[in-house]
Amino acid sequence: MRLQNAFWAWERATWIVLAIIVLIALTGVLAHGPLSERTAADGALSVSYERFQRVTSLARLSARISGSYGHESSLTLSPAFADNFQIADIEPRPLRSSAGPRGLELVFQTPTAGELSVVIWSHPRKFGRFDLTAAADPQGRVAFSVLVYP
Amino acid sequence: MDSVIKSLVVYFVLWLVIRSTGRRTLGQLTVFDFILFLIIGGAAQRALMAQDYSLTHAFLVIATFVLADVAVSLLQRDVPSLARLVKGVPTVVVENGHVLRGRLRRARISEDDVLEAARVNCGLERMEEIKFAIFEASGRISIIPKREVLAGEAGTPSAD
Repeated sequence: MRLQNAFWAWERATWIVLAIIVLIALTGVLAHGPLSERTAADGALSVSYERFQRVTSLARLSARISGSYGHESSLTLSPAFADNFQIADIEPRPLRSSAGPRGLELVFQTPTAGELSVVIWSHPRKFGRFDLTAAADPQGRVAFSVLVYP
Repeated sequence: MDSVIKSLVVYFVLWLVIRSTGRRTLGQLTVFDFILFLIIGGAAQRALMAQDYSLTHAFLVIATFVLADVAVSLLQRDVPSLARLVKGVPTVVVENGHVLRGRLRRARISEDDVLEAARVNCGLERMEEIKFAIFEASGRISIIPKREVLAGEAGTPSAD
């Protein structure tokens, strides 16, 4: 009976641990939730991203460039983004894109209202912590980090 | 967050769907039933895993299913009315050798199923030998033979 009591105690302890993990997941600490969403801004550039992501899971990164001048606006994402994330979709479609030592440069047509809003859907390809930057030269440069769970 | 919510929704939708198919034990499944359940499982799995094949997501889905199951079992223990709703209640389908056909039809079992259970469990041959046949919440059919049948068996000399 002592062994059975120990087993029941272990069973209850497992339920409690599972319940804590599920509650943590509901907050977004294990990706896709309120505590995961972050916004970083510098100058005219504001980037909203998911701080916690999961390998292969689709994640949203949005950038707003206000007060754009000229016909075109550019958004440059650091090489770590191109290396570790697979882009599934970009809205709106860029006019041009190029990848080089500075990273992935996306050039968009500036809307008539002057504020460009870009959404990039991507899947992380690897797990770990990634320090990324997004730049909208010369209006702003934002550094942020993303933790990708296996 | 989405993993937990999707898993909870799938758990309760699956429970409703499986419950609506009626009471059946695994041994009573036909090949078609088995394939149908496999397809339902596959569809639920695709909906749950859509584009997220991470270990974290898989673990969260498993943890949510286990916790939902434990929560339902604890609620069944503490709230008897919920237990009746979740598990169903035993139904008498034969009373003193008289077949209650309306109940049999609604339970979607036949007289042959009752006679089979009577043969397998008690070695009875005729409906008249059955005092009660009960369609249990688990999907099994329990047979209680008439007292005189039991007494007759006790008095029957051995073939040896």
